[in-house]
Amino acid sequence: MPLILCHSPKGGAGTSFVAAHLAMALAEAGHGATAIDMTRQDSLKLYFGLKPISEIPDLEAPENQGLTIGGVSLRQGWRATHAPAFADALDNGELPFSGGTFVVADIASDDAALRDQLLPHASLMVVPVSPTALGLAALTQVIPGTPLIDLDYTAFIINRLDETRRFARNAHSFLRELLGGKLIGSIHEDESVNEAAAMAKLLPAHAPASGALADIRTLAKTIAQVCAPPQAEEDAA
Amino acid sequence: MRKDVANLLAKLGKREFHYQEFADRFSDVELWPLFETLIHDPRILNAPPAEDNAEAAVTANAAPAPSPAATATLAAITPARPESETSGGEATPASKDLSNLFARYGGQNAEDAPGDVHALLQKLAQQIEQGKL
Ligand SMILES: Nc1ncnc2c1ncn2[C@@H]1O[C@H](COP(=O)(O)OP(=O)(O)O)[C@@H](O)[C@H]1O
Ligand SMILES: [Mg+2]
Repeated sequence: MPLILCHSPKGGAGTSFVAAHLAMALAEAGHGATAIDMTRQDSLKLYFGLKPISEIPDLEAPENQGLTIGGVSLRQGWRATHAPAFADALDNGELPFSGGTFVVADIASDDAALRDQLLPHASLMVVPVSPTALGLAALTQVIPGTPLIDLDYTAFIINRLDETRRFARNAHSFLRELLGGKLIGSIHEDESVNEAAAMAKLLPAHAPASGALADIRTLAKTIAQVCAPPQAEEDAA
Repeated sequence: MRKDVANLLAKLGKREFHYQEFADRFSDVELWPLFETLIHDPRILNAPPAEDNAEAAVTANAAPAPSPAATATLAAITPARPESETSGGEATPASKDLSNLFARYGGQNAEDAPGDVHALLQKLAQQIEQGKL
């Protein structure tokens, strides 16, 4: 049950986009995948071809009331993860996510409390970074108290990379040097991300040749490899 | 406004391998003032060298060495085949060493690696602090 947290200290970096498409790409690659929207904003569903008015099942709703789109079981977890019982359950080692699937959590940028609660249970935290001055400056805020380059179990992704922009290009090189193997890839700026949501369609259906989609599929392979449970590794060997 | 790395290195008067390699890799990159600010920021890169990093792991992972049985915890996840299968789209140093994600647990300390940019950036930061830059 690898739990993957998607969280960025900066809003608008594409955390929800990454969470949604990482889950879809994992499902496409044959893994079980659940995506949980843990934000109050409730916009993860827009990347699953749903409309703002659509409701997705609560994290604690029974399995037979589930909703699967693009191979991903989709859940709204804001209510449940902010209920007092959630912290108690975590303390007792009870996770509301089970089974052998990847669980991808979308955590709001200002919700450090939830991030800190879930981190001890996570296999990886994925941090999308926009290659802008403010995006880089926000890297000082990833986990207060620990220097960025000392963070374990943390992988960075540049999102909305446009190589025609000089600063973005330079920021990419800089982050590669600074973060080394912790920068696991980049996703290009791609207007079809916006268009697919505007059409209430899945990105793979709306724009199969999308550059951003190809990028996230590559990233999903890397992440699946990094998060593979020890048994899976032995089986493969 | 921007200083390029060649200028920085010229000022440092350094000709050592690490610095040279850094310059080569950065040859097409402008060093924006923000980049300098970030490498001096203790929240990005702690200036004191390796030893005290052992305690500095992310709060959530402050557990000792991972036990393979505790599969539900962070500490139990180890990188799968860290050295191989690097055929990702990112043909950069980024995909070369996934074990870097788990540096504090993977045995090899990132700071020990020759030519490692972290060591270099620390040196640069120290030089600047000492007014040598
Ligand atoms: N790779 C991309 N290319 C183009 N637009 C993107 C990309 N990733 C995200 N976006 C757009 O950026 C905005 C913010 O994305 P969102 O996923 O809501 O970020 P966050 O969850 O970090 O606030 C949205 O309008 C989204 O469509
Ligand atoms: Mg969001």
